[in-house]
Amino acid sequence: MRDIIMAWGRMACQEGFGMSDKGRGGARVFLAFFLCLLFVCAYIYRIREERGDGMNVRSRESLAMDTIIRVSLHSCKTPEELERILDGTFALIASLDSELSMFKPSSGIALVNASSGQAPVKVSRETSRAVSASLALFRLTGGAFDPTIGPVTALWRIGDAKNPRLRLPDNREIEEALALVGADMATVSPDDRVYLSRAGMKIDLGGIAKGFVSAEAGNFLAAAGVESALIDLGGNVLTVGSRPNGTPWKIGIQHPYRQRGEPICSIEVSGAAVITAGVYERYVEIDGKRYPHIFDPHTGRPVEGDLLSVTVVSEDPTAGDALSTAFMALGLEKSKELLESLPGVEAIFVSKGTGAEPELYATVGIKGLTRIAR
Amino acid sequence: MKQKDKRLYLILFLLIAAAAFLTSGRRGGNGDLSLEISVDGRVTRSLALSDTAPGTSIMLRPGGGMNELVISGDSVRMVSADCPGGDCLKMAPLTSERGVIVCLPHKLVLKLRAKDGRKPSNPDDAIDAVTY
Repeated sequence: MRDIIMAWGRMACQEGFGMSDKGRGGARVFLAFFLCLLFVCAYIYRIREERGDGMNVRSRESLAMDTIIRVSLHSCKTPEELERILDGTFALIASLDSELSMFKPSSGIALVNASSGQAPVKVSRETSRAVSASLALFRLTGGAFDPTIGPVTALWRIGDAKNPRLRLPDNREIEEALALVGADMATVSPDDRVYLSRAGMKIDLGGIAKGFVSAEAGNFLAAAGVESALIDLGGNVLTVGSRPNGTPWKIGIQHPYRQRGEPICSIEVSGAAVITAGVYERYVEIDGKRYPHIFDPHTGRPVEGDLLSVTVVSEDPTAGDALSTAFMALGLEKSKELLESLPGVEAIFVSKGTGAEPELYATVGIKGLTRIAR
Repeated sequence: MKQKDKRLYLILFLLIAAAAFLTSGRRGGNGDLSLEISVDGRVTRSLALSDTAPGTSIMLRPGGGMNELVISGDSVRMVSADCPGGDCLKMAPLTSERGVIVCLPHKLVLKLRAKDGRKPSNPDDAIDAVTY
């Protein structure tokens, strides 16, 4: 550095700086101007770093859908505008939650379930679209995802802290519940009437609701003109655009054996949903064995096998949510076959493996995959 | 010392000062972070980490329940709770604005917030969210 400055000094002298009184005066002015410019640039750079190139940031957390919901907005809009957009986003989420939850007696889904085997029920446009999407994903996955799994989830009560199951259901109970499962017995009419043809059937949108709601929230933000946002519905992540600085968002994938928030790996995405289904997240332990809350609709029992989690990356959060559940039921090999027929859908599988640490399998389209924990 | 050397030392000093100004506060721990405690959507308490002695234990009674958290310098962790399931005890300690600790049965949310008006520190290699 000193050599460079000495060389610059020598060059300045050779060019006349400091050779005469007039020259010395010019050198002083030049030096003062250079230093002022340096500090002005440093100050502007620092302010831009802190403020994010004129971007305003607003984020909010709220408890809804039986989980924590976080929305972060990055935009050139004013902070007041962003607060209003957040108000609208959370109001939308609350409204959809009250329509899609089977546990809220006045929800559209609860009313449909209460009228199963009797009559079609008129539901909201949004509920109709959510049920239609779930039926389409039932067909796409060959029944590995089934929105009419309700009788089975109600039988097992996994994750119900107030009324936990203390013994395994017997085969007869499971068979009775399975007889009421089958999305081919559910219909949605063009005028938004949902009908379950067998009495006792129950729609449970738990495997798709968060994805559907985050898709609706993402559409709301896009319509509001938000360029960059992160929507996190209890671990179901939807990115809108890129980070404010133009780089992709970096999303971690939960390590199955470690504390919540500790990732096993991370990936980079822009404008995509990253949604995970994992056996570690919610389960019941009976006689020393853990039974996860993800069910195989063909057996009526919690999924078994080597898979610990499946993360799906896609532009459509609704599909991503259902597919992550379906892949858990299908297992790795069958999931790979299905993935080949799904352009634009990528996945990361975390399995038990043979060592102490889980193994990762990722489709070739996953970008920026970085293993964090070993 | 010659006049020319003085100028060179002055320039060097100013260059170093400018570099220090640019980088100061970018990786400077959690001096600008405060812990925000919310119960049922309302912020009930906020305290600056820099004003809290390491090892400080805080007992909370959200909605009649009990949660105990410990502030250890630059991190906050939940150490005990009487909620069913105890999921909040399985959550990683808070070390930045990106994390959150939630106790759903008690409707309790712990979050670190950056100083007002300051952009959350988010270097390019930082993780924005974790899917689970």
